[in-house]
Amino acid sequence: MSAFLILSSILFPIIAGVLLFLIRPLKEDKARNIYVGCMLLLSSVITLCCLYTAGGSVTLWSVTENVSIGLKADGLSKIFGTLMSLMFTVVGFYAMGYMEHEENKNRFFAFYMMVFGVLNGIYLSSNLLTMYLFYEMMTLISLPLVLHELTEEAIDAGKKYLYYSIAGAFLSLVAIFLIYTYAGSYSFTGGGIVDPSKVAGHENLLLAFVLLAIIGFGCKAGLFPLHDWLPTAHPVAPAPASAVLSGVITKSGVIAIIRVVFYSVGADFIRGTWVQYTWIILTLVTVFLGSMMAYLEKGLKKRLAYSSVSQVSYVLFGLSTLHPLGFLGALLHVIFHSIIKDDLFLVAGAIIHQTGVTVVDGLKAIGKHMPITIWGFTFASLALVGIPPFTGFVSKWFLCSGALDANIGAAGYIGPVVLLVSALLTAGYLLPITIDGFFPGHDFDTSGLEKCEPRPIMLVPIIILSVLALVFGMFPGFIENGIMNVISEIGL
Amino acid sequence: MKGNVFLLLLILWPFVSSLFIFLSGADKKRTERIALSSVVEEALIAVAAIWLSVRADGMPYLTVPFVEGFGLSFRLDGFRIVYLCVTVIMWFSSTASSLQYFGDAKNNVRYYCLSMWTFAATLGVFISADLLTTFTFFEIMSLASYAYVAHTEKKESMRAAETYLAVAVIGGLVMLMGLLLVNHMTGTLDMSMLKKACSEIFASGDPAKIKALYAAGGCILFGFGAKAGMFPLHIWLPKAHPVAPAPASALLSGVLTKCGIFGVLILVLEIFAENFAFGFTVILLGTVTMLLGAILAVFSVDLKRTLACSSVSQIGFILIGCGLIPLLKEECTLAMSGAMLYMVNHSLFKLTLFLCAAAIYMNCHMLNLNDLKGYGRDIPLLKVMFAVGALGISGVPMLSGYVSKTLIHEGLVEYIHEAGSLAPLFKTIEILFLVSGGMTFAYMMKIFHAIFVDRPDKDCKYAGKDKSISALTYVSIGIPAALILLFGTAPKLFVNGVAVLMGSFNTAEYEHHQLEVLKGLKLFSWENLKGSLISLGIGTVFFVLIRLWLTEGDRRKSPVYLNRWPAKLDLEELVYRPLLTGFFPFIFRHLCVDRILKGIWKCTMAVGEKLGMILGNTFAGIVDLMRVHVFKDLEKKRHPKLDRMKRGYIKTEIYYKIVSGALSFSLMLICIGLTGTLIYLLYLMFR
Repeated sequence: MSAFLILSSILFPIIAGVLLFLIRPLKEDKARNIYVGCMLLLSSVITLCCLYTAGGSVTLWSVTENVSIGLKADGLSKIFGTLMSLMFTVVGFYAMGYMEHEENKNRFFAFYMMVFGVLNGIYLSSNLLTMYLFYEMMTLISLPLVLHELTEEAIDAGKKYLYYSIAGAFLSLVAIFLIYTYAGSYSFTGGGIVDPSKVAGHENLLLAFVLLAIIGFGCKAGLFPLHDWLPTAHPVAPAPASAVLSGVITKSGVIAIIRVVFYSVGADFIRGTWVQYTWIILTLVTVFLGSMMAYLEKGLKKRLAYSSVSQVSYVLFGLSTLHPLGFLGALLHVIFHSIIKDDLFLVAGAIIHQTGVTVVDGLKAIGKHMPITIWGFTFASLALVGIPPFTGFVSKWFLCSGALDANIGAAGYIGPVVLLVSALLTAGYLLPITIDGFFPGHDFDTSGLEKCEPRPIMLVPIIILSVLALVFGMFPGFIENGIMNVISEIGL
Repeated sequence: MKGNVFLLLLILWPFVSSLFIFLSGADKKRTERIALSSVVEEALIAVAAIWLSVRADGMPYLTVPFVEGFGLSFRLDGFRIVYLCVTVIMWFSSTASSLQYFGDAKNNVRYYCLSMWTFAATLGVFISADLLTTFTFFEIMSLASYAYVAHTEKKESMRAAETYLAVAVIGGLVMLMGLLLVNHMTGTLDMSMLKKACSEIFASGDPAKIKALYAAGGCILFGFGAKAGMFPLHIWLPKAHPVAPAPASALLSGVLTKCGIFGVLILVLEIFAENFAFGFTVILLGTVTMLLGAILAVFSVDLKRTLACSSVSQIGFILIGCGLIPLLKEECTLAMSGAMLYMVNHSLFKLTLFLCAAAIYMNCHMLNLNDLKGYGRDIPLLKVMFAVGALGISGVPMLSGYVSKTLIHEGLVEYIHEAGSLAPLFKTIEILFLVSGGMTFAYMMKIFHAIFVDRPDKDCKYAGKDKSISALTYVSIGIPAALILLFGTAPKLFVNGVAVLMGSFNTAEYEHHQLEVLKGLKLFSWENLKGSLISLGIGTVFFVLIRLWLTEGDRRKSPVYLNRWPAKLDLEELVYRPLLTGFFPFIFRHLCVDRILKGIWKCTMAVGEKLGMILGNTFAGIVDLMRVHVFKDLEKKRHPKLDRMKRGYIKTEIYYKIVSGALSFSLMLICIGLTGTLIYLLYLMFR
């Protein structure tokens, strides 16, 4: 039963997506929407069942004795699986409203569901090889989401996304080979599988390639120096696709790094080495760089994309401290950033959908036109800045405490400072939108004012995510417990 | 959740009522009614909460678990009870007077909603029992009160609001850093445990830890000081108060700045108890703030701006009192009571004065003293109330300001005897203290004289405008004015009642000998009166100087007030704004990361473009060769798609550049990856 559940949580969305191409009646808007809605809900239920009831593992194909393709549900999958089910369902419903005037809706939704399935594969993989397989597959399957509009810009952005992702994955490949050499297996075990006696004498070789793996997988997470695809790809994709790209797909890079560092190599192996410090420096550079670029950027979606670059590196910074509190903060931020950034992208999409404005300067008095949407945006902004009691505050608190408590020298103090400076910049690039929206100035002509709130199917997801951005910040206890399980699993 | 549930209700009720206000929609009368009634209900809840906590078997605390993962904790005792009452009074008066103030203005739903949020958050700050709870409500308060400043949406108010928000956000984040450090050093943020934990760190003598604790203290002082209006973060006050609606200015100046002082009190009483360096820093900053605010106020010719600058100056007085606490150690009773009473007093003064300003502004919509000249000559009740506020803040005996100012002055004199080699410095501070007190008198008299005594010009702008002030507005101004009179004429009640109550701050309570000091205090002794009289004497001299130098025209009856302060001398415009909005982004854009990135970009472009060209040409060539030689396709025309493929890498349009950049960059990285693989293979071979 458990094997069936695990398999179907991956295959079900993929098959459901493929069917969208094949079944002719689904070309009708109404039929497709009902189909997609049901399938998304069903896949989420299957995934959640798989994660919370069955657990267990399944080996699909044993290549050799130690090399196999297999799936397993563990603590980490629980967190990511729940998050992704939530995000895909909520954003999926929003997409039904957003895509109404677009073309090729079936193609979009088909690939949307397939990405969901493949992403499930990434966090359910039981070994490095399987994960790598799904990781590459996800790049290819999510590409059509970027390409969707098929404009020249979109095609170029798609190419860039592809090149960067493939190059990043290539960088990580060697580390995967090396880990096999030193561990004799690919399977994930909390605390690492590398055999210290085998590594003895070759530490620097392994370390160097672990760093390359971090940089390579960091590509998906927008880590400097491979961050550049995000601000190109996000603005051209349709808003729900950008939401998924930024909120969820960037997190697949985080999963991959967690799996390599904490489940394969082991945190102890790189603690205190030059790799850890390089990693910390890279993340801090990205945090600052992303925020600053977002602050200087005028296009709304591009600004949000730069913001993602910065925020996902908060997560990586938390991981790089190799401290339980930092890890807790990092995983909390994975969840919270997904919620917040999806919310922001959905609002950006709603604005584009309703008014056609794409630059920040054109958003004066937008709060008078679509008050609920902009309130959602405000909630998400405050959460991203880290104003208590919103979500971002909790994760930031743990990230900073982790950095201070981890014994990493000056980086322990510089890290929190960079994070807070970046929070300041975040306030600088998000809050003015709300302010201009609600306070257009006393001489602003409000006579021609019309309410242009989006349809409920778009509005409700925004409201849900905004409320979650507040509620999870006020009551993060149950999420913390889940993450604590992971921490004990990897023995930090 | 255990403890006094009313404390939670106290926080939640304004949020609930803001919902009702929101739902009341366009019905203006209903909105106002709900707003005022919910403040009254809040007052009832406050009474219930206080009653529950001061009973013999009372529960002065409340912990709410799970929230934010840490849980919130509240406490209601001594100091907090007093400030709860002050806050409720302030909000009642402000809301009551805003009914007439706003008249037919639009957007008052937004104003009242966010005012309720600010109310809840301010109460939250004052009854919080651990610093994380304080911080949570402090941030909510900072952001919700944005609506006060930006309310009118005029150009200058948006600019002031920008400053306000920037100071609030920066202050909040710096404070967060401080809290993180304190939490890291001591492992707790519970106010009642901080004192022990911090004194242990100081006792341990570990220089690294002590340094970190000082850094933390500096950060927290920055955050709270920014809200209090401490130099050099006072910039938002003179900007924000004049543009905010006057009832809101009363709150900004009367209560919100006190949240900052509350934090400073935590610092000097708990974290840096008996620490000389910290107290000394606070005193120095306080002195600068006090003097600077007074000077700015003397020069200002705008009614509300003068009051705002006066707030800066008064905060300086309070900070001196706060700074004396750790310096005087066990002997700090006078300074501590002085600082706390000064807080209460200043809240009441500013409430009175700003609401008087509201009563003036709502009818004539003018704030410049020259326009308002003689406006209040025929409104006797307002004249009296303004006089009570103005004389009270100047420290005239028989009004409550005298009590608190005297107590801080006593504390300062007390320390001069102990200061040793620093005595001359503290003597200077004492003189500056008296001089600033004198300046307070001078600028208050200047305003009073201008509005209530001077003769109006013949062509005065307010002529013919309605001057009516409703009974409710009078009541709202009357409450604080009456309290000022009451406390001033019955100082024993004020000192032995309020001060002793406030003395129990967290765990610290007045000890027996301290109570004796307070009880034995002779407020109207010659020694104490002397300080006040000197100050008032200096004030009179200043007032004459103002009349001589800062006015022109008919100096005796109807002078024209001049603003001789150079407009360019503005800390914000001169330093902060250029630095934050110009300099740092400029540096970033032109010097560091961008250049480096572009350099890397160009290199990889050059390498990758060549690579791409070679690859593209090779493939195209191979296909061409195959076409000609294998498939015998002798038509020389090349396949268009192949041409495009070749040209793709040298097209100069921007998007192609991006793609070729991306391609070349990733090619380079793939090469690195492949090289790695090769090295690995070689390593396997020769192992």
